[in-house]
Amino acid sequence: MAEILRMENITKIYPNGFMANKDVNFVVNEGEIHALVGENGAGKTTLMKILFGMEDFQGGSMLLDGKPANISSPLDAIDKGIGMVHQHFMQVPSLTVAENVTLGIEPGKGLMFDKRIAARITQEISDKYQLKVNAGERIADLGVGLRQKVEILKALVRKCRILILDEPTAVLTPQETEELFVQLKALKKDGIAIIFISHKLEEVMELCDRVTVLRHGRTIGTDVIENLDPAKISRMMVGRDVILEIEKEPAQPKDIVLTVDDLKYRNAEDVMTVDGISFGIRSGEIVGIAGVEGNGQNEVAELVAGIIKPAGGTIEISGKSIKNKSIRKIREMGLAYISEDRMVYGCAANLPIRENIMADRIHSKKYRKFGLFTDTRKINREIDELIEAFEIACDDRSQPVRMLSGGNIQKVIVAREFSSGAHLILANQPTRGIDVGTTEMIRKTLVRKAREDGVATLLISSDLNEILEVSDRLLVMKDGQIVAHFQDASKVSTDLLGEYMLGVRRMTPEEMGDLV
Amino acid sequence: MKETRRIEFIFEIVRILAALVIAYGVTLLCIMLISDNPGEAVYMFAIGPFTSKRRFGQLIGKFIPYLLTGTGMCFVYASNRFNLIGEGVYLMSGCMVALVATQFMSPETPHMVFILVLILVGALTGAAFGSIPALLREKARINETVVSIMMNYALLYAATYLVKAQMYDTSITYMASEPLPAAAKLTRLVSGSQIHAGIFIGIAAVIVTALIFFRTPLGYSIRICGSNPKFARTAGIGMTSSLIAAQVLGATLSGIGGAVDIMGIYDRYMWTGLTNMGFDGLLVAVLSKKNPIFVPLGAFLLAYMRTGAAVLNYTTEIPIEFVDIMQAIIILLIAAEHFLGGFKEKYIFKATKSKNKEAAKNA
Repeated sequence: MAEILRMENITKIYPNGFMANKDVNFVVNEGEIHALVGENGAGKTTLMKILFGMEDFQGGSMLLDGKPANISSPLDAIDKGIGMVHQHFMQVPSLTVAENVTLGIEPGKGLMFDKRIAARITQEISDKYQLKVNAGERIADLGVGLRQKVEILKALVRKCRILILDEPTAVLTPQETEELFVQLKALKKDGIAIIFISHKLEEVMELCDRVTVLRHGRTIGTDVIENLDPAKISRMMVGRDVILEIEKEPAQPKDIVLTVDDLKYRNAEDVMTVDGISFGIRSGEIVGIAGVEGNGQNEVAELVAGIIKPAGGTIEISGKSIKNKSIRKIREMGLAYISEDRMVYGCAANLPIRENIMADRIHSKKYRKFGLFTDTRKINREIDELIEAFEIACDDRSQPVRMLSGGNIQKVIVAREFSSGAHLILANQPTRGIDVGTTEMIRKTLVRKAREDGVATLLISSDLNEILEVSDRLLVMKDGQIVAHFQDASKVSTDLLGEYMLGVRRMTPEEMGDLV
Repeated sequence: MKETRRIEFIFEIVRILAALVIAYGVTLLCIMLISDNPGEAVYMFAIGPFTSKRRFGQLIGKFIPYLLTGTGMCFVYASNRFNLIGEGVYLMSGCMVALVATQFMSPETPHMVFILVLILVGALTGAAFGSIPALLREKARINETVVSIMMNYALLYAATYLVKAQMYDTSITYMASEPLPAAAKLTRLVSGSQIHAGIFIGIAAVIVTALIFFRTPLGYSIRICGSNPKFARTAGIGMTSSLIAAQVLGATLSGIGGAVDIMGIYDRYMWTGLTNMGFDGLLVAVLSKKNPIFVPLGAFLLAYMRTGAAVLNYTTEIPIEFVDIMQAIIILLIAAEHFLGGFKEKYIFKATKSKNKEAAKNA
């Protein structure tokens, strides 16, 4: 098999000094499925962005078909036969499949766009590669699995020879994943090189021919799949055997802290994204909400945090309604909130660590001096203690947050939320996109807070490992409703959970039992 | 990471210096092109402000109100609101000070009392008019920039009306108020110059603003709201009150600026056009990177440039507009985040790489 791509000694440093790739070597052959694995922040996405012309790099070289290649932009990359399927699809929902597939290369005479030719081209390529889609359907009416096929078709129509798939199975159901794998293997037979980025080692073992492992921005090694097993790859990825299991004692739930009753939310597009859900959380327990993203979990978090207002229903914290209360009042009632999007809702990137941690408590009388001024000495001492306790890697407390790495920014946020003295913690995707060490620390702290301090915790996460390991009880949301309730999250299998998440199964109210 | 911060800091300094050099270069080039005696013109422009007590006094005379409007605009700029009411309240405060001093106070009032009352008048005028665009913005979501710019003209003509209707001095040939009583004037610190006691008020404003910024809950709130409003809201910071406070405090300081300027330099109120002092306050805030501690530097720099332009204007045939070109270039270059950004990234890259190499060697 001929070598199609060679990336040699690629080095990428972001303007904030973060070195995402250090002398990375990556070689892909024609007609192979090559897995690129590594934990979050290992530099996989950066490397692929470089390959796809989205990021420049400071050192190293790239060869296509053995010839030096300079890829200056995604357009250039497409020209050179590289296609990329992003985690977030690049599509126009209001247009049809055919229009999306031919976007930018529209067939027709002059300024006229010939829809029939577009549909024919789409159908031909779809038939050829067994990627069955209906060219005339609007993207907005398609499910995630089909939309992903459209994304692959877009690359194929542009005659790509290297196809990059960035965590393609993250949004898919197990059944859709199976289907995707069959199609990818068909593409491979046609000589297309596929770069498959994933965290899921079973998938890598099943699908791929070779594996390249990145760790902390460096290449750890490349090997054929026959020489590897999941344990070996995982050791290469993290450099030690990760204890993915979180040890915890059984919960001893006490008083009800959070009560949600018949909660409804209507979004800007007038869709009922939260449709009459009720549940409760008691002191000392962690309740997880699982679900495919976009089924109302994020709205539940924002409703409880007071960021958006419900269309109906009530939310009570320790028996008191949060209706018409300001966010500060709700926080004073004992809520801490780790939001999903840390750079938008979780921190002020240009301000120092100190200001970021003080943000939720700056008005507290605890930090006053002479009535009016802040007690700087006390603040500095507490901030330094938190930096040490949460092992935030930084120069000092006055360093702007934007200069920290993603994991350390999240540490700043959890340091604030975990130290606010709250008895209700709302953790919305608390470990998304951060390194294993920080992830482990955050998960352990969530459990410790619940067990030792009797905190009631609501955990929303699309990381199944996290939601199953950390939660005591587990709820599943689908289309804004609760469709399943498990009394013991540790006894739930991922397959079963997947079926509930995808709406294949649904519990009756009797099966769910009491949701408190 | 420490290295990164050091490089960022050095580049901030280098960038400002480079901006100055380029702007001066362009201006000097223009001077040489149009002047019959470029050597003289360049000298007047660059060294002129320091050649006599009177000229240096003129510089300080501008520096003092810049301290006040600059710190005021720091509040507005740090809260990320583009509220320019500082321009309008500056002259309205001057007008109210003149009105109170000439119409409502006895010339026999003790000096210190007189001064304190007039500064209070300036501050209240600033706060009162400054609260209008602030309240409209935060309570009714009406664009503060539009409101404040329209109000600036309303305030200008209202002040002119007040002069005509209430305190017009018919004994002089131009339109101005009656003269201020001697007790209402700030003491000249150096005779024969415009250096007056207002400088202490300016310095006090810098200190108080820095304290509010970095040592009070309000300062924390304003900076967090200005830096990331969505985060401020999520963290439970009272956005509306913080942002109104920032804009009103900013206008208050501009108001004090107008009052101090009238009491320090002028004999009577005579502004019949916008003074530009409020807008200049924004330039000072930009030059100081919205940090009140750097306001004295920014204020001095701008006062120096403005004075150099004035000296050039009355010693040579070069029009003052040329300096506006230079100022525009400086502001543009300092405000543009990416000017020299490529160099900075290269240096950070080099530093990080060499650090990694060392680490590899040690390991």
